[in-house]
Amino acid sequence: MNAWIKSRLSLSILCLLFASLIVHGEIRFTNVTNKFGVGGYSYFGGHGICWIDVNGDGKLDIYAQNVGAKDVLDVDNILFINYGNYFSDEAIQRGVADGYAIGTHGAVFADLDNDQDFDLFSTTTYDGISPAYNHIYRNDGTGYFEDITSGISPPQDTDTASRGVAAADFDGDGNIDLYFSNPLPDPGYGSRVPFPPKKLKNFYMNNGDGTFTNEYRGINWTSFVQGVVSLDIDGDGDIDIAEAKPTGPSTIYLNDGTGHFYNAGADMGLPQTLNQGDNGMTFADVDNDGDLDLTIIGGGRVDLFSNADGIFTKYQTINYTGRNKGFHVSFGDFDHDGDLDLFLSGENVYKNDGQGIFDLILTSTSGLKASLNTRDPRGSALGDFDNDGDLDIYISAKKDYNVLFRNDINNSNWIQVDVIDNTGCVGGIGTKLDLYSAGHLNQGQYLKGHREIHGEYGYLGQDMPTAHFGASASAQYDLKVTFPNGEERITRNISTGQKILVAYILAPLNFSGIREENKALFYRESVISLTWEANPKNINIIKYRIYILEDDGQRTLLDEVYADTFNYLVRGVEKDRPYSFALTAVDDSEAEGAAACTTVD
Amino acid sequence: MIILFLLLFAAEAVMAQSENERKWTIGLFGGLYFMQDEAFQDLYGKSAFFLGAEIPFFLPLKSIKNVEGLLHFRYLNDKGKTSLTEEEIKLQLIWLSFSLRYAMNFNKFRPFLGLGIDYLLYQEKYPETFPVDSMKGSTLGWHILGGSYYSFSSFLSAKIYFKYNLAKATEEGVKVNLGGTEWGIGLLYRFNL
Repeated sequence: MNAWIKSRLSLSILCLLFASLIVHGEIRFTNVTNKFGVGGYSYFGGHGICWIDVNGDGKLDIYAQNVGAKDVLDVDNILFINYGNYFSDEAIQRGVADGYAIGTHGAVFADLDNDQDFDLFSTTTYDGISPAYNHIYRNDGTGYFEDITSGISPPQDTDTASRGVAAADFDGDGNIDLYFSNPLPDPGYGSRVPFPPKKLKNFYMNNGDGTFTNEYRGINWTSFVQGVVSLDIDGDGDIDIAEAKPTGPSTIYLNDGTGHFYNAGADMGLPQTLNQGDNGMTFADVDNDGDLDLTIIGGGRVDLFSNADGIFTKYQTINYTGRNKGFHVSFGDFDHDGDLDLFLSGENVYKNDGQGIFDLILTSTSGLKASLNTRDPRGSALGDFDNDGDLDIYISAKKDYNVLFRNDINNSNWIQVDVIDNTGCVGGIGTKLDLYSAGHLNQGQYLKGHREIHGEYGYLGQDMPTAHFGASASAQYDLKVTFPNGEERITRNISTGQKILVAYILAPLNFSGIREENKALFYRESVISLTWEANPKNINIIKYRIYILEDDGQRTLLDEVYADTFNYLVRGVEKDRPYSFALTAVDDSEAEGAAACTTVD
Repeated sequence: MIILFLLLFAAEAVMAQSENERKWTIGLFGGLYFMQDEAFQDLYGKSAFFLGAEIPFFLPLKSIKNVEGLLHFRYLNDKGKTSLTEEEIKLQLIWLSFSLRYAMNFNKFRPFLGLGIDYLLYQEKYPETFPVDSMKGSTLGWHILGGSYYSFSSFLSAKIYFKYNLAKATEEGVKVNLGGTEWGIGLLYRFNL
């Protein structure tokens, strides 16, 4: 074999190896910032980032929180509306420019009024110019917003220097509440020691009628707070809060089940060291064991903690090599191999080995060189802006243009899940999703991914409100969705390469019954006439099931009626006996929803 | 027992009549029955059509002139709808009646006025959706009647009459007023055997 043949053969083998790597899902991004026009401002600007579909057109839009610079005041936030081939900043005309003099940091989108669109909570960062108040905006359903800040009671009279925020139903009343950090004008960023605890009102509790009550609920302010994240960290069914504090220590506040919180960071194994420069905390199940592991970023390092029965233990540290000290970590299955990979905002991507150990992917492979070149990168968020099934990345930069990276994996090894939760909210904040190999539901060794939908996390980022799983296309999967109220919904035999919607089926409305007489000349039949209305938040309802409730609580099916029927006559009932009935809606997958009940005396 | 008594009495009377005049009389008639019960009016309408037959006869008591007896029955079959579900229901009423009436001849007219008793059989049938298939029973009633015959010939007469009935029934606690007013016309045919 001569040298020419050898060289060609070697080249062919290398090409085959390279091709096989591509086929098997190598992490690879392309900087498409300029192509889509989403750079934003140049030497000032980007902090908080949200991927959200504000106008309900099925395409993710971008909301970017901006702060000014020394000579730049009155900086508007950016709302990039996704038009498919390009984005257009429409923050001003859509009412969410939120142009406070110095700027803003944290923001979170959530369905605050249960009308199935995304409303906005946007913080304001005081820096010497009053008033600096937080704002709440209501989406009219088309992506245009109305400022409903006046619904906060008592009215704001203190400037705030809010950074991270959280949105979740903290008190379990079915309404999304809001939490904001640093509820005071001068949070003492440079202080090296914690302040004495201050009981400041840092919650806006949602009253369900478009108003919010400013309350203190057990989270003391002790030092400057950067990122905030809220999830069910201890797995007890309510939403907890974690705060990253530069002077520290960063901590976890557990919910006592009533929407009041207590500091449990030390008990849960979090380091109590001060002045670590923490900027963000991110929770994700990186080892596919069904619980939330923890990452803390800041001070030039990323510490990873595994969760074992609610105790966090540090097992890996990644040194940050970017241009600042590190602000934000996102987790997503970028290569669709079934585990969560790690992205450091303004730095690089790290591949999960399947056990939660992360290995650097060089920029020559990942295509993320522009991330490392970004000046003062801050938040980032993950979303599938081009609807090709994979996770793209948007990074905000304080002293540079923001950057959009498109994921080029382009295979069908993914499943996305949208959720409408038990209150009818879109986004499903607080919902947990567990993906199993088909036929192995609830068997831990077959768990392919655990997700909990939440709002802002890390430093200042909110991913798209859609759960994303990497999953081999050669198999099918069963999905367990646990809604915030604890009820579960199972969807079986899901194929990959599709986005599905799992909607909690709400009870029909205004279910009631009256006793009536059906006359013949010689006979009086006692009947009960049941009536109800469709719940407008339900989708794909095909029928209703009517049950009679027995004295022991058991329900016996009386009948099924089509979805366009809103009354039913129960025949031949006894005249002097009270009856109780239940009514459920059933969707096109034969899933049955919550029951409305009524008793007729 | 009452019916049996009435039938025997009528048969004896007819025999007596045939011995005297060698003529038999039979009448057919029809009309509208306006039942008083409000439920009936709601379910079946204000009135219902009925058919009937009658056999008038002279009493075998020669001292009571112009007083004659009348055996007659009527059959009413109507369809209605239940009040709430508007399902079809069927009502059947059969009256077996005996009347005594006073009648006088004025040229071709023979007006009459009388009273009598009824034996009323009823049945109401219900759709399958009902807890029961049907309700049926019987009751006694009273009536007064008036009207007139008009003779076309010695063999054929026409009749027009009204009648006011009193009858009540109770089934499963439901009280039904079966009484009401009936208006009818008919033809009578006289013949020799």
